[in-house]
Amino acid sequence: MRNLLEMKEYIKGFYAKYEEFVVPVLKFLLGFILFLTINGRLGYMNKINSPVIVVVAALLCSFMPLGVMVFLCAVFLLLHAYALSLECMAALLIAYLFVGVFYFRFSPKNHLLLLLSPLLFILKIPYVLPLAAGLFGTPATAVPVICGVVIYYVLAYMTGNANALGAGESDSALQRFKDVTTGVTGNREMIIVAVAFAITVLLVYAIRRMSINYSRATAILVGTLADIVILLVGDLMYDANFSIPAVIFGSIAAALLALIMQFFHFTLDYARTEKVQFEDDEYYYYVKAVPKMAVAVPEKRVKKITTQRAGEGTRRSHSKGKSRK
Amino acid sequence: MVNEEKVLRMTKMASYEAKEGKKDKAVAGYFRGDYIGMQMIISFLVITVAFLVVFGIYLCLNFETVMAGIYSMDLAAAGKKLLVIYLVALAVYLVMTYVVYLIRYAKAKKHLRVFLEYLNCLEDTEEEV
Repeated sequence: MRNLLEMKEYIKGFYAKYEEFVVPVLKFLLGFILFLTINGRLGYMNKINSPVIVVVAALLCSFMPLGVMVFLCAVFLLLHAYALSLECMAALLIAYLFVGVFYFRFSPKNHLLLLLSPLLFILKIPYVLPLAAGLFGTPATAVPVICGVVIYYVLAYMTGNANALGAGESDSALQRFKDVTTGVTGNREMIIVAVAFAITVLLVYAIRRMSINYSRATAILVGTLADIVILLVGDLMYDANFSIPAVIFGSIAAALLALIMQFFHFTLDYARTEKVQFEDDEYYYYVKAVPKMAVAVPEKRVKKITTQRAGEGTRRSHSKGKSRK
Repeated sequence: MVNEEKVLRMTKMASYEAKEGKKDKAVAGYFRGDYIGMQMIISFLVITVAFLVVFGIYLCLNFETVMAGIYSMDLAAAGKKLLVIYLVALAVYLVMTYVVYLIRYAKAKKHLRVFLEYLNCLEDTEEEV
């Protein structure tokens, strides 16, 4: 445990010291992974599949606010959808309308949750989303989680029916658009997951705010169980074809991940180095405030064990013996 | 001689003022009723536009069915049904807006109150000196 705490302090220290470099690098990596994943999963427009464009977009994201990454991801998705078919693009625009109406009105700061939601679905651990949102956010974080779920399922429908959508020459464009919208809105799995995640966010938030011992760990446990139960009950009621082992093992992995995140207390505990300027009647102040280290890191003691000392000892004893004599 | 306690306080205040302070000041510049009312008007416009877009899409998708049955359709009943759906969506959205922006306003006021307390303390220490 102490080693983990020390590691946490090392990370905090490193983050505080090199924040100017760490944040852009992390943003670049996130952008790079997101754009690569979008191109890898969709990739219908060859012009934006080039790695050069991915790197340039990720570089742009590295020094811009996260909102720019959200915008660029939306543009990438839209271009791929357009390349697949105009109806897909229209369906995606409806999903964007949903995101605009709810996300940008009620919870516009949680870009990270919105960006990570589809990515975590692809990594098969989406269940960590509501746990993390409830642990580190407010009830309003349920909105970006739901929006992420909707975006993921729209994209999943597109990729799942790409062949039919791309080469649907027999039907009219209107019929194809109708097929896409009914396919997405009639997706019971999406609705069950959205409801389950929203309830889990609210539950985890409510429990972690309670003044009980181990409230956060309890919140993770209860949230995970509630998530599993709602998904399975939803599956039974609406026959949504969830993979039960995937739900259970994914939820357990998500709970473990949430516990690790809770331990390292991402986003909240990491007080940033701040540079502020102000003045009073006498001085101008240029202050750099660096967060304190909480756990003392033990100093390294180097013990030298050589054969010489043993030799010296015997020599000394010999000499002592001689002097006594 | 630099007063360390004063620097500490001023640092925290400057940090707040540079980040959330700007937004909080903009929010707390309104009376609560005005702020929430303004947000509800924006929400009303947003949900109305969204509803019209969704209705337009529905009409496009079911154009043939609607046109085929438009003369035999009970237009008053259909309009009433549409109105009920719109009013329910509007009511849910406005309630959400009210709750979210009420909390936002209360938080902004609270943060600014703490900031003003810091400012008063700072003035008191300066007067003592």
